[in-house]
Amino acid sequence: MQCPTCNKPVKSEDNAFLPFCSERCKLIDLGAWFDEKYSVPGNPVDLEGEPQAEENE
Amino acid sequence: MEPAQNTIYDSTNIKILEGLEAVRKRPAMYIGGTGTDGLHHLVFELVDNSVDEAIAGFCTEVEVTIHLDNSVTVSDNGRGIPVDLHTDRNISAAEVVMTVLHAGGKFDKDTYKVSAGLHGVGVSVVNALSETLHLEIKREGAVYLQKYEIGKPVTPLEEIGKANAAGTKILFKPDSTIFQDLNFSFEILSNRLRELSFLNKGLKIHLHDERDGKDKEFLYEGGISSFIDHLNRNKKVLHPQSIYIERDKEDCYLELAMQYNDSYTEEIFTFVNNVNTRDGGTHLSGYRSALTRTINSYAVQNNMLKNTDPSLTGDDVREGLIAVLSIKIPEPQFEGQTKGKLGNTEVKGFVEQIVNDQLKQIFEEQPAVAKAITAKAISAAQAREAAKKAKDLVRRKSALEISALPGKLADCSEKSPELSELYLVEGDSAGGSAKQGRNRQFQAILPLRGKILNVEKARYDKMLASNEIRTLITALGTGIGASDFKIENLRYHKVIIMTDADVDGSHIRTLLLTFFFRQMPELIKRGYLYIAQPPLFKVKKGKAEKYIKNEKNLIQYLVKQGTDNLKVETANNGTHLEGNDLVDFINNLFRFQERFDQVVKNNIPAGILAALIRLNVNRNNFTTLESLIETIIQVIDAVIDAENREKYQYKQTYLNVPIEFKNTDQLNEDVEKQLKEHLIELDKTIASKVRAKTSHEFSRVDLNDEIKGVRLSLDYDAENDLFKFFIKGLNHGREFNIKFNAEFIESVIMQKILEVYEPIRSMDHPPFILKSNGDTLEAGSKHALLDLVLESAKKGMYIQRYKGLGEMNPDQLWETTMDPEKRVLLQVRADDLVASETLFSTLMGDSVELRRDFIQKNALQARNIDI
Repeated sequence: MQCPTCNKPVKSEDNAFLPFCSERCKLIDLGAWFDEKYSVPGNPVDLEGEPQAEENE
Repeated sequence: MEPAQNTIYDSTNIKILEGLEAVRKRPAMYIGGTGTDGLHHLVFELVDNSVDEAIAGFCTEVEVTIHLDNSVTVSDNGRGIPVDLHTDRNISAAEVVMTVLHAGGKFDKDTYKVSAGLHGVGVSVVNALSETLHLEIKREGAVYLQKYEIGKPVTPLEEIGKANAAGTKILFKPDSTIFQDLNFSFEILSNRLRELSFLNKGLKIHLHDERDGKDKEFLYEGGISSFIDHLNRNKKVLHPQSIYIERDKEDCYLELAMQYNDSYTEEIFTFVNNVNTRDGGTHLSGYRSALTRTINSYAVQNNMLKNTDPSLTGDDVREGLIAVLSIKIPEPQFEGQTKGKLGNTEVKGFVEQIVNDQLKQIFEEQPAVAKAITAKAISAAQAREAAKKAKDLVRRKSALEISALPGKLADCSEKSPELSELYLVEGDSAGGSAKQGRNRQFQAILPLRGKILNVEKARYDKMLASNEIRTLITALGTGIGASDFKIENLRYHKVIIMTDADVDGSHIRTLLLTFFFRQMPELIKRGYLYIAQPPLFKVKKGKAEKYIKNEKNLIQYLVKQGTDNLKVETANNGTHLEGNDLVDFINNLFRFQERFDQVVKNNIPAGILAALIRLNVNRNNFTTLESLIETIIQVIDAVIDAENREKYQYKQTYLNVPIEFKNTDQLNEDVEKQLKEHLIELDKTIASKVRAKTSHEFSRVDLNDEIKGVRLSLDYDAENDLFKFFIKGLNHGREFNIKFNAEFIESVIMQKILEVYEPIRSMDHPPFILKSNGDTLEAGSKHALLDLVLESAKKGMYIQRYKGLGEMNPDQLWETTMDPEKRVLLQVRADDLVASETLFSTLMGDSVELRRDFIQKNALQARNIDI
C-alpha cells in the first residue's frame, strides 16, 4: 500500500498511522478534509436548475 | 584560510598579561571544574593551540596520545613556539608562554586573526595543573626541551639535538592533587577531535590510546560537508549532495553546510572559532532569518504556495534540516552561563547577507534541490495548520460538551453506545424521511449534504463541506487527530452510511468511507461501520408488494414468477422441464445470454458464435488442415439457410464457398486428397494464390439474412503449429473480419460462456413449446424463450425503480432499510477499504481520462435494465 499523502510505500506492521506512513502525512490529509480539497464527481446536472456552489448550514 | 605568510612569529608577538599563581588556587575559574570536563579541557587547550596554527596555515597534523599512566602527549607540525628571549622578561618566549597566564600568540591579533577564544586561558594553565610537563620544540633546525613541575621550570630550555622539521610537542601528566579522576576517556577526546577535524578541513588529527591500543585518525577533505554526511549517515536525505557555502569577508570567515532528510527534527550545529556555541547566538539568528526568507520567496516565485496556504514559518523551513554553521571572527564575545552563546551583534547581518545571497543563487542553479526543500517546508506548514484546526475543534467541543452537538443531528434517547445507531444520510429529503421513520429510542439521524462545486461547465463535483466534517466528528464524539481521537468516546457502535443507490450516492459513500478509512480506521477495525442496503426496486402485483435489493434479485424474482405453472418442451424427443429444474434452466439461460451478448457486441456474428459454442470447438479443431476444414463446414452447415444453399449450389460438385489457402507449404498430395473428400479442389492457376474451386463466379457468398458477402481464408501458425481461419463479410450490414484460432476459443470470455452453456447444453434443442394453464406458445430460440418467460412474469406487475432514498416515504424507509428485524446491513471491512482507497484516488486523480473511465464503468454497473 502507498501512503495517500506522500505515495511512499507503507509498512503495515506496527504503524499507528495507517494507511499513512506517519503522523505528519495523516495530519496533512486531515487538513485537506477541513480545507475542502477532496471532491468526487457528482451527477451531471442541469446548469439552470441547480444552485451554484452553495454553502450548507 | 590562507596562511599569513608574511607574519613574523617570534618573542615580540608574545605579550605578558598576568601571573599564574591563581590558577592552582582556583582551577575551576580557568577550566570550568576539576571533574571529567576539566581534565579533558587540558587536552583541548593544547589541541586548540595546534588548530590555531592550522587555521593560520602552518600546521597540517596533530597527534594526541594517551599514555599508560594517563599522561597525554599533544604534538603538531606547526612552526614551534618561539625560543628566543622575550623582550619584557629575560627568559625565552617559550617559557613565558608556559608560565605566564594569558600569554601566547592567540592574545595577539596579528599572529592569529582568529583563535579558539573560549578556552583562551593558554597552555600556562595546563602547565600549572600538571604534576610534570615536558615541552619539546623543533624550530630553525634544532630541537629544544624544557621540563616543568606544577607549572615551574625545573630545567632551562636546552637545545638537545638537530631537527629538519618544525613543531611543538607537549607531554603532561595532570596533577592528582587537583583532579578527582585522572582517567582520560577515549570517547570524549575522539568526539571533540572529530568535530575539530570536520571544522578544519584537510587537518589530520590522530588519536592513539596506549592503554588498550585504540586508534583513530580523522581527516576530512570535505570539512563540514563531511560532518553533514556523518550526521545524516543513517537518514534518508531529500537531496543527495549537501549544500555548501564558504565565504571570506574582511577578517571574517563563514562556512555552512546543510542537507535535509525526511525526518521532522532539526539539528543545527554552530561554531565560532571552532567552539561549539550550544546556545546559538547572533550567527544562528542570522542564518535562520536568511533561510526562512529564501525558502518563502522561492515558494512564492515558483507558485508553490497557494493563496490559501499559510506562509512558511521558521519551524516549517527547518523541519528535517541538518546544518553546520562555522564562523571564524577576530574577537568573539560569548554570553550566557556556559558561555555557549555568541553575542557580537554585527555577526547577524554578516551571516544573514551571505546566506541570503548564496542560497538564492544555489536555489536558482539547482531547482530540483530547491523544489524538494520547499515542498518539505510546505508540507510542514500544512501539517501545522491541520493540527491547529483539529486542536481547535476538540477544544471547542469539550468546552460545550453535549450542547455542542450539531443542531442537524436528531439524536436518540438511548445513552449506551452499544445500543445506539447513527445513520449518516445524504440529502435533505432522505434525511427528513429517515428522521420520521426511525425508532427514536436507539436510532440517531445525521443528514449530510454533499456540497456542490462547479468545476466544469457541464459537470459538478461534490464534496463534504468542512462544517459537515466538523458536525460528523462532533456527533461521533471521538475527537480527531493522533492524540485526541478516542474510540472509547464513540457515541454509537453502529455508524451506518445510507446513500442513494445511484452513481452520485456511491461516490458520496466512497468519500465517506475514505474519510473513515484515513482518519478513523479504528472504527472499521472494531466493526462499527456499516452500509445500509436500501432496495432498488418495488414490485407490486395485485395487492402484494415486494422490495427488491438489486437487479440480480429482480431477475431471480421474475424468473421464479414467470416459470410458475409453466412446462417447457424441447424438440429433443419431447424432453421437458418444469418446477425447480426449469427455474435453474432459465437462470442459467439468463447468465448465458448476458455473456453471449457481451461477445456479440464486438461485432462477432451471433450465428457463427452460437455454432462454435454448440459444436464445442476446442484446440483440437485447429491442429490439422483437415480438422479445421471439417469444423468450418459444420459451422457453415449450421448457419446457411435453404435459400442460399440453393443459390450457391452449396455442396454440389464443389463446396462452393470461397476459401483461400494462405500457406501453401502445408499442402501436399495427402492433404489435397483429404480436401477432395470435402468437395474442395485447389485452383492454382493464378500465381501465388491457391483457392478452392467453385462452380459459380461469386467471390463472396451470403449465408443468411444477417451474414452476407462471406469469404474465408486459412493460414498456418508455425509458432504454435496450429491452423487458424479468417472470415470476412457483413454482419447486419456492418463489415467484419474475424480471426478464429485456438487462442480465441481459450480466451477468458469464451471460457466463461462455455462454462454457463454446459448446464443448458442438453436442453438446447429449439423450438421450445411453452405450456401454461392450457395455453401453448412456441419459442424459436433460447433468446425467444427467455423473453417469453420474463414477459409472462411481468404481466400485471408494476415495477418501480427507486432513484433515491427520498422517493421512499418514512414507513417504507423504516420497513426496508432501517428496521433491525428486516434490514440487511453491510459491515465495512478493512480490505473493502483498501479497494475504496484506490477508488477514491482514482476519483480524486488529476487525470480527467481516468475519471471519465471510472464514471462510465460505474454507470454500467448502475445501468437501467429494460423493464
